[in-house]
Amino acid sequence: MKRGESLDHLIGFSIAVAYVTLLVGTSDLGMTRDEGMYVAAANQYATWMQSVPDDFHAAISEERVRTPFAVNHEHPVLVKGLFALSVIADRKWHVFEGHPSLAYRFPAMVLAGLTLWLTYIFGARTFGRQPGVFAALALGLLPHFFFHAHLACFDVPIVFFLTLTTYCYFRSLKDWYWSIATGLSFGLALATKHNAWVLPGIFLIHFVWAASIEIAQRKRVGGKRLSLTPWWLLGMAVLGPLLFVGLWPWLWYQTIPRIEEYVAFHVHHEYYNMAYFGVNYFRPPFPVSYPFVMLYMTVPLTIIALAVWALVSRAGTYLPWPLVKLTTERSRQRRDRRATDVLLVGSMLAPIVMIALPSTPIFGGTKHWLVAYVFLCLYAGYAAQRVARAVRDQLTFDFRGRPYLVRVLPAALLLAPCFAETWHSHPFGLAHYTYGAGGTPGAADYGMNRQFWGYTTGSLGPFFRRHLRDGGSVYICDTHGTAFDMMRRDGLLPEGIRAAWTLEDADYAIVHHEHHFAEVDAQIWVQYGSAKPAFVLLHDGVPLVSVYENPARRSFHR
Amino acid sequence: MEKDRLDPATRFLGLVFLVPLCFALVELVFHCTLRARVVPARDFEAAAAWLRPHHRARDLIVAAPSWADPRVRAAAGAMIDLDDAGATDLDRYDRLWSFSIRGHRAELAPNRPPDAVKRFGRVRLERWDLGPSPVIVDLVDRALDAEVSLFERGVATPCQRVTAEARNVGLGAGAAWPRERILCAGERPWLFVAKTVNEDLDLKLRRCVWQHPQGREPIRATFRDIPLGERVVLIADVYSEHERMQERGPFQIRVLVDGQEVATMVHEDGQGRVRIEGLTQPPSGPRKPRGDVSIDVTASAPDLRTVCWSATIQGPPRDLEAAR
Repeated sequence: MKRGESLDHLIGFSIAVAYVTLLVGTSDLGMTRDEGMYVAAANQYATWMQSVPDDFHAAISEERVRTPFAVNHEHPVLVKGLFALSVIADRKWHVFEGHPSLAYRFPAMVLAGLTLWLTYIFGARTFGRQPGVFAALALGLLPHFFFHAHLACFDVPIVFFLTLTTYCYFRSLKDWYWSIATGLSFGLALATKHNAWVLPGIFLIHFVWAASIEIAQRKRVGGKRLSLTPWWLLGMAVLGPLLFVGLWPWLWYQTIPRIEEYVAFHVHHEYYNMAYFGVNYFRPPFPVSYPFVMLYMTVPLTIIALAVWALVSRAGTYLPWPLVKLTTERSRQRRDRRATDVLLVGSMLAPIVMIALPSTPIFGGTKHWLVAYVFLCLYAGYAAQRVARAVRDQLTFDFRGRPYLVRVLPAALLLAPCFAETWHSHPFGLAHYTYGAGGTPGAADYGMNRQFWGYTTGSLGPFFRRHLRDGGSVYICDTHGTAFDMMRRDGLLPEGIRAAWTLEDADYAIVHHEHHFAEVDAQIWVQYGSAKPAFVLLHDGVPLVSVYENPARRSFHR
Repeated sequence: MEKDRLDPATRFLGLVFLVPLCFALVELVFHCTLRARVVPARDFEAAAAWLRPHHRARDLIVAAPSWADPRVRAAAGAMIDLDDAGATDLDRYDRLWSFSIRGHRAELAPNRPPDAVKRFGRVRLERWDLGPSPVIVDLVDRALDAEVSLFERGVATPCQRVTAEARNVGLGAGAAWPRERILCAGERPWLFVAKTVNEDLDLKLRRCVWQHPQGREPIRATFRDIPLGERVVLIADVYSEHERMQERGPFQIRVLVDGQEVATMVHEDGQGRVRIEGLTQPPSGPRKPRGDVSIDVTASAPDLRTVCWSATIQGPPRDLEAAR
């Protein structure tokens, strides 16, 4: 490794460590509904993993594999397996003493840190170190990315593996041996989440583009810069499926039917509710504008403005030639034979376009295109560097003594909105909207989705500590039972309370404010005979959760 | 030390590159402003405290915007009962009070300025005087007084008032079944009449009377010897999730006064709340001050036809837009 590359990795490593530390330090976040399911699955996997050393052959038998891996088998196991390993480590060494959910979340947090490292490296290799640092920090400080980076889910891990595969593919264009890494990382991506399915298509489009440039350039100026043999495709085709099946014990038996079942689940995924401009969408066609508007409303405007500026100024590097001629001559830039911008822009747009398709379910809000933010931030980093240069040129004072200040201060100012928004959004990241929406109250005015996954229950701890000092029961609405239990074990909720599954059995009932949960509000009113909440949890004045007291059980707690 | 590297024109163009810095400053200022402008609970509570001695029967309290409704109910909940929380029009009310924030106007407010306004910090308490309510009898309030019958092969079987387990909770469950209900068929426990709150197609909550059809022959709720006023107004729909896929058959409602049909509705999925009106007085001859009003609900395919209606007997209509 060259000295410069070592320094790059040292910088990337430092960013990653700082970010993981930040995530661990801010992990007082209620567990989400999906995490509850993955925790249940990870517990099963952990039990199975611990049985493997005792009797390897018995452990991998169909009978012993079936029960643990039937749990949540609609998703691959790689990341849940990491959760399980972390839990085993915690059981053995008590690493996360007093904070059990961190044992599940820590591997995903590490992958979030690695994503920032990788973003920096990608930025450093394409636009330079300064844009790389800016891009990594901007990504880590996007409110929704920051929220998802905490979770024992797959949404940030898949961002890492998708970006890793893209980076390996990018390197493989010049050095064939990166094709092996491309295949391996693609296999890990497949073993993480189905988002990976689209990668070969994106790469193929890019490869055709880059190959056509290479052929033209060979004719014009000669020289061989790019291999025209798609070794990367071979790597992906061979190693990808091998790792996908090899890492997932569920697929070791009845492989084809189970893969078919897995594919069918996601191809015919059921539709959930999502509020968008006051309309509750629950079936196709979904609005094409959804991902674009949500990006505008949840990413700090400064980052969007920087990225748009960079994309416009670099249009000559990724638009087809006829379109480039329509743009200004100044925008035409020398094309690199790897068509780097085509890859970056394609990787940014592909997940957004996928969600924009009217038939694609949109229940997950912004989480489905988080990987686009990696590339968005790379362009923001490119523009931030230009801003810093412009500042330097405009200054009448010479910072020759401290030139880094001219780089750092503008970048710090450009990152400040990210920092302020993210800091303020915590722990309500999913409910948080930025300047584009007029903040969270502005989004509520527009009738946008308030939240999902029932995680805001974790913020009711202070209320229940005051009102259920001796324990009691709570109807938990959208919160998953396992997630509720983890919130209790984490100390977010008092030890003595339990989940109730009927309103009659509950001392208190909660309703998470989402448009389609209005009916639960009504059910509570009718059963408790009152529409007056005992407490309303707010974010920027916008209701997230209402808590109602059961009058029939009031005397128990007085 | 001064720099002299760029000519003035280039430096001027370079200012364009500073625009993102302005974006950042604007965002930061916005962020601070937004946080400073969050409406504190004490403003809602101050408005509610002031309103308490001024509040009268037939006053409706609402939030503007509607997403602030839980905050208003938390502060002024003692003055907002289930009927008010599930109100979807102003028919039953003499006055409207709106807790308005962020410059919003209440969805139900008449299209004219409020008759009175008072400020409590960031909460604007607005009042509209609507004039005396035209409602003479609210049939939803009298749901449990109704005589309910289930018709099979032309024979009416009376339904019985019971106290049973409350049912339906959670997403997709629909309107709650209250403990007190008039039950028609034990083996088909959904065939009952009772007051509840239903989620309509727009996901708005509406107080209403549950009256699930059983087939082509009706479930009939009859309100004996009630004032007839001039007209009957009925609004009906089914639970949102049973309507939104638009895959089920219609249901019918007939309103009868002393056995004569005065209004009818055929409700198709996708229509949401449908309102009908009928005259309760005979077109000629002497006025009838009192009489029997019946509501018949039928559906040829009654599965998941979770019909919920609200109805009032009213006098002459009033003009809400006219200032008082």
